[in-house]
Amino acid sequence: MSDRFDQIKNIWSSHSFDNESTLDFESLQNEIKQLRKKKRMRIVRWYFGVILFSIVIMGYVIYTDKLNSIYKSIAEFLLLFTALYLFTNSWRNIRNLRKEYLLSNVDFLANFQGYEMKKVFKQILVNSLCITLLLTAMFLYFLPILMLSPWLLMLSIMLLIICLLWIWLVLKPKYQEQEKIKHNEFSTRVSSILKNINKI
Amino acid sequence: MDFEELYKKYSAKVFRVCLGYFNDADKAKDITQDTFITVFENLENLKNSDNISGWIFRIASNKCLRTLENEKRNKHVYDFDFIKIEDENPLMLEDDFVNLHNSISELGELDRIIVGLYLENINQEKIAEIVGISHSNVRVKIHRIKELLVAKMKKNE
Repeated sequence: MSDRFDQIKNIWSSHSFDNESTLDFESLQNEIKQLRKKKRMRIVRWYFGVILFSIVIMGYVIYTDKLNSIYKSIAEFLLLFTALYLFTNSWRNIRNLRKEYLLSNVDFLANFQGYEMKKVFKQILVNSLCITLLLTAMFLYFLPILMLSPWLLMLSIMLLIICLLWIWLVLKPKYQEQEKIKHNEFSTRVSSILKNINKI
Repeated sequence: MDFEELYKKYSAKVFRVCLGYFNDADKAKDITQDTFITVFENLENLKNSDNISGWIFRIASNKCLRTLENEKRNKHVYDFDFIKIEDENPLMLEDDFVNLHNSISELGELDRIIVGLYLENINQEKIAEIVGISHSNVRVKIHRIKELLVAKMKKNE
């Protein structure tokens, strides 16, 4: 068997793949340069967007405070909070992704199996929460106008409640269920790999 | 060791390990490229440079395993095109080589990684570290994989 396996080793290394299949170093450098440029631009745009958004909202909050519109102020603070929450959430996701390549294959798979499901569920929760905050902010922003007519106010409150109930009682569970079904196959597969590797 | 040296020294090895995992030259090329982009981005933060090869193979093998998640999202990726090399024949590979890769592709995910690393002459302690199992487990696994591969190669000849 040892002779036969030596033969396998020879077959394995019979192709050097030095030039034919891997990129030459210059092309890889160009690729990295392009990727870094794109990433830098994305980060600059993201930071710039968040900072600009925060400044505009804060400025507007101060301005409307002068006008004594408490509902508009709350609405703008809600928008500001939503933007900052989304920003910190995406930043945490990037950092988690960086750490995972330092793990061994088994730890990576075990971590991946649990983490991916949590990540998807968290994303659904974040989306639901952000939409809720946005809808509430919109409602509060227009509340002074809506308060002029009791019917309009009643209708908008009903509409807001229906939208929120639909998000939390229909959409969120539906997406969670869909993701759970998708994840179960993946989870079974990862579990069988992990089980298999621990079997001697 | 600078990045260029690392790339020249390990890119072909990483490619072969990825090819062993996927049995698909295009996918192996993409993962190799992706691995070295991660290596480049994290090279400055690497504290222990003694085990740089282990670190590179760990990145590559985790990138290979990450494709399991893509299978969940993209059902059509699930069945890897194991005879792609034979079909397209972009590298003018011999029958033995195709036979070996077809045989490896029938192994489990982590077994494919273990045998790839072993055939790249990575020592068993390092393989145990990369995969995250005990040294004795690696030794037994390698022994079994060897037997399996020899039998499969014979059968497929």
